[in-house]
Amino acid sequence: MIVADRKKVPEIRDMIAKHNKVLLVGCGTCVTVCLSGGEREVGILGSALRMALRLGGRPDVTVDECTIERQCEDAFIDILAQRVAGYDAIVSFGCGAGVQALAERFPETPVYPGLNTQFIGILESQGVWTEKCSGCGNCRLGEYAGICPITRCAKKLFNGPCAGSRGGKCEVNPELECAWQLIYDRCKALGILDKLDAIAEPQDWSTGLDGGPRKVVREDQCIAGLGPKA
Amino acid sequence: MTKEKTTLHKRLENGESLLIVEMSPPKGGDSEFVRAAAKGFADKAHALGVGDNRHGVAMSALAAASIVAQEGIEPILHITTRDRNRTALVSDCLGAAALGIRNVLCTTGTHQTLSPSRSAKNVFDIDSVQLIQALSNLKSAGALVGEAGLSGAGPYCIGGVAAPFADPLEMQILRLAKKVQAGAQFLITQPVFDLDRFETWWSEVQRLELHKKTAFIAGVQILTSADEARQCAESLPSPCVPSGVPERIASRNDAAAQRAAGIEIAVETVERLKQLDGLRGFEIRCEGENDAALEVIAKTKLGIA
Repeated sequence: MIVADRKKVPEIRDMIAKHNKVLLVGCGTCVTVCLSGGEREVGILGSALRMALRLGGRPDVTVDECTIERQCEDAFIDILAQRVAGYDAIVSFGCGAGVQALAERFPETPVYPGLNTQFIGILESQGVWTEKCSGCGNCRLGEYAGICPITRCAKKLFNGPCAGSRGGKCEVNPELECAWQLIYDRCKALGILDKLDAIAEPQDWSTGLDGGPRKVVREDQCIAGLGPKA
Repeated sequence: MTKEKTTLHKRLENGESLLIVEMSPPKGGDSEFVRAAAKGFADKAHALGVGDNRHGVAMSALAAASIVAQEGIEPILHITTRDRNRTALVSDCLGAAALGIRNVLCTTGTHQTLSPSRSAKNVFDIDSVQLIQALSNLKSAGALVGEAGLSGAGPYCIGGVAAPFADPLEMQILRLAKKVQAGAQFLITQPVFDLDRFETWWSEVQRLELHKKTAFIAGVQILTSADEARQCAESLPSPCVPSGVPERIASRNDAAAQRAAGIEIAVETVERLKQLDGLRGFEIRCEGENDAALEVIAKTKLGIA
């Protein structure tokens, strides 16, 4: 899922300083699951924001909340269309894609981010999420026993651990596991250490963000005659 | 343009021993620091390694190496994959060749978050194994950056870093073997303080006979004060300084005595490492204390003059 983290109330309060009627929009998908931008979190944030505005001498600002199923699909955003007309700003509690989808759909309404989008990751343990995928567009997990050196090695090393690996931990942060220790342990357990013998080829980064913003087109799924949306 | 191999290159091919000194360029634009180091070691060591922004921003290693080359000692240009993509790496190596610098040490570099440049964006486009491989064959270096071929450079004398104190040991040895396979002609170890761990690692290197395929140079760092020793021991990634080393330096009462203790420890380290079969030389790292390095070189009779 896409994992996001909540922005602090004062930052959101300052972002909407010039607006009087603000709609907070939650998202029912990834950010609901990671407890940052779903209905519950938007409700809590809305109460805190109204309190902050009152304490800051702006008690007349209207702050309302609603949550849609997915902010990254027009079909769900459409549900908002009529309601948005009554507000002079939106704060999106979707990921960065959700914020931009709302901005694109409502060109006349300022849209602000309520979250800091973090990464594609998993729930590691209760209340802890970790990054697992960089969306490089050229997945090599098969070469590395299912552990991504691009995302989980702080130096994106393809040919083994750096000199900073100590006792299974990364030099960057003693709480961070060394990806190469994990790759080694798993390859050893699976009896496939020989997979790591050959020098790995340099990554072709052009399939990732380095090649510019990407688009996936499934011609077989596009509506006949309309082609992919520009 | 000369196609002659560097002195370092020839010594390596002839199986001769090597003494290298390593310097970090200054945090500033004054060339005198670099010139003084180069002049100081010109008749004492075979080559002077020039670090690449090891502790945050410093003078460009390529510029500093170029100054070193003017002062009668061969530089070894360190180049990290942390700060440059493959285009810039290969381009800088071509530029180095044009400046007469063809000893290149390829290294990943300490992560920028451990330096004052914490907020900087890193690159890590290719890793040091891939850079060694690219420089080993300029045709493949051309392919690496999408060019048909690159001419007028090299032959390079290519080095890498060996990490005796990092984990997991089996993977570290595999990475070393990849550097050898990629074409590293010399490998310089991180500074040795923990001799027991070093010997364990060295026996693995010998078991796989990597030392017969490339030259291993042992790094020795001189700690010239109690503060420096403590900071070194606490630095990341851990240099694995055994307890007792900082304490031994700190037990001396004044700065001169602490410096002497640091030199003693470095000399003892060199002497013990000399007992190991198969090491091809030493790299003395002194962090600007050039006189201390000269003293260690004299006491261990490593000097070339």
